[in-house]
Amino acid sequence: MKLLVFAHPLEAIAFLKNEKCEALNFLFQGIYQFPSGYILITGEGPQNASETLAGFLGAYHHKIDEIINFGVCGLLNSKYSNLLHQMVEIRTSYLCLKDHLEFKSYTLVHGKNDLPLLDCITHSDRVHNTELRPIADLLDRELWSLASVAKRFKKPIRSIKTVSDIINHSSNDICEVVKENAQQYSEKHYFWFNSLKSETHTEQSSLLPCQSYFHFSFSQKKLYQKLIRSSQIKKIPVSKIEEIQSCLKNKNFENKKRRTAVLIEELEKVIHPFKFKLEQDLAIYKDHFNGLKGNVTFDKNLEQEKIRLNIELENSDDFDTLIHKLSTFPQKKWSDFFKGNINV
Amino acid sequence: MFNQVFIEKSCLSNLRAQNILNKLNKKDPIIIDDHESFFNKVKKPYLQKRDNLNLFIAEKKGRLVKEAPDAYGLDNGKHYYFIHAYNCIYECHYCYLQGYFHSPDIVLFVNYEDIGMNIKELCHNKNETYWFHAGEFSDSLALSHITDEIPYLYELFGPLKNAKLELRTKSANIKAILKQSPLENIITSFSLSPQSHLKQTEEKTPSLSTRLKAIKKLSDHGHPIGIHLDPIIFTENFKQEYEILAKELLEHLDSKLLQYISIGVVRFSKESFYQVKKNYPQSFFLAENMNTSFDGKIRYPRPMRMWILSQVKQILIQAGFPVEKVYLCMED
Repeated sequence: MKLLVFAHPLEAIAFLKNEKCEALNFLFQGIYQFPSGYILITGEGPQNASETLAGFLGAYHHKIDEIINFGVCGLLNSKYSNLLHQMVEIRTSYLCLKDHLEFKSYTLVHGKNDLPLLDCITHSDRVHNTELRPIADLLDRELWSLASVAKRFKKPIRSIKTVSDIINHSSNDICEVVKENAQQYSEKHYFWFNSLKSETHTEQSSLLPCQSYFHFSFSQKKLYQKLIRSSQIKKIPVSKIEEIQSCLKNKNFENKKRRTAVLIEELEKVIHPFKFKLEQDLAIYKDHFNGLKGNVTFDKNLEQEKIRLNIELENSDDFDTLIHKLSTFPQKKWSDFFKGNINV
Repeated sequence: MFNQVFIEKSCLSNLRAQNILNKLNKKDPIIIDDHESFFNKVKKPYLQKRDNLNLFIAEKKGRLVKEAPDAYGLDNGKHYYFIHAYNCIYECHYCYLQGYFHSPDIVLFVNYEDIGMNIKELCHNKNETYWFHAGEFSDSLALSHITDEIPYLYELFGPLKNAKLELRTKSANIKAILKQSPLENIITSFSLSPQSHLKQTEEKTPSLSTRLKAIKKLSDHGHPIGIHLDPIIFTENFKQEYEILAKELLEHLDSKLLQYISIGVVRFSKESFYQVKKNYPQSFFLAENMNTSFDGKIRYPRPMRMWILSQVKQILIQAGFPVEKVYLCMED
């Protein structure tokens, strides 16, 4: 469901009139429900915006897929004066609290529409000068707070504004102008909302193979998805991946976990042949210590030559074996391996 | 090119600043007290450089010339870089600037005379060689037709016999240099990659053939040349591509004028890597595994990158480049 957020009731008037809206019994006023979503009236300013949105999402976050903010904004950059009374979509939202510029900004999602995309700075006060023009072309009072709360709740947010005025020193009575035009702006916003076609977000197929043959642990799943992403970047045909999967389905394994491990190994071989080669070389060095009880590990980032031996020595034979293994270890070759001496 | 142009009040009477405004045909820039009040003060998304790039004309305060990091440049002498600008008009997917500054906007500093004074002060020991690099935070030549600092730099470095200047670029913007008589101690260096790599990782930069033509022109006029094969990105057929590149390079360059070829494998600071993944999730260099390396930067695993470097070095030597002119960049 969508959550439509407005600062003032007048801005929402066309929505309240045209949708079958019912006031929601909640801890505070200004929330309405309609068949495909909710309307929230926050009140003016960044604090009202963050308090009400956070309060609402705290209770209803599970029902909300997307937030759309509708409102008005002032124009800081007269270069865009042709946009007066026109709708724009906001690209990035900034904040100025009193005289302090907040570093953090939020880049909003935006759809495939023809609205101009501009940046907007939210100010804690009503301002009548264009000092913030180097930061953004538009100015409003709520958006940054909404975006910040939306991010906290991991909800996508977009913002559609109508440019209500060009900010200058003589724009003190602008509130009256905005009020006069509020209904007209609201109708435009409602028209836009109605024409909004549901944009389906098709997620890239992760190609997770059939669960009845494979069992993925959490880390294997992550690794598998990373491999698939790499294969897509490298433009390895999907059919190649599917071929590997179906080939393994027809083979016998002790369990599904083992089949999954082999699948990942096979994919590595195809997608990262160089890495596979390095791992093969490492396996040879590891095998050198076969016969000892314990573990041999290498630097996981392959940055340092160090080898970690975690060996149990129970008797003199173990000592002899260890001494032999260490004295015959191909140290020079190992060192050269780190200098790039690899047969590829 | 620029959405808005801002100028610091103190630069209004600066001739270089006026020249820039004239060339950009910006009669009414927005006057601000200090670029630092806006630039880098808020997080402006990097990709806004595509359609919302602003320019700040400013004076650089604080340290104008800084010591370069270790493994920077040839091993003979002290290395410094000077800051003539922040950010770049090009959009290279691997560029570390996307994680360095918090804004893609360009800042051009116009107080070159202060930079020059700093450089002269540093070159006090006549027995020492001092290297100065322009282009740590911006391409050295991409905007030189607007900024017009090249004549000043030639005038500055002419008498500084113990100093060398490297002008590092991805551009082919060499007109200003061609107007100067070659100086032994001013080296124009070009960053090159195979054309297929350029196509996939750089936007708005000139093609390889255009850069090679620029190299040839400079070379024909007797200007010293440096080459950076950096960043090298691993692909299945990178060896063939670098073989072709080495051959083409030799055809365009008088090897007597070649000062050095540096080779370096793609690497990222942690912050840049995060930004790269965010801005260019489909970039082909993200297809290979990279890890945190010896200096905290994200690189290919050591054996892999050393192998890549050794292969490219071998290709260059086999093509006929002198071994002593090839050096590895940013490797311990």
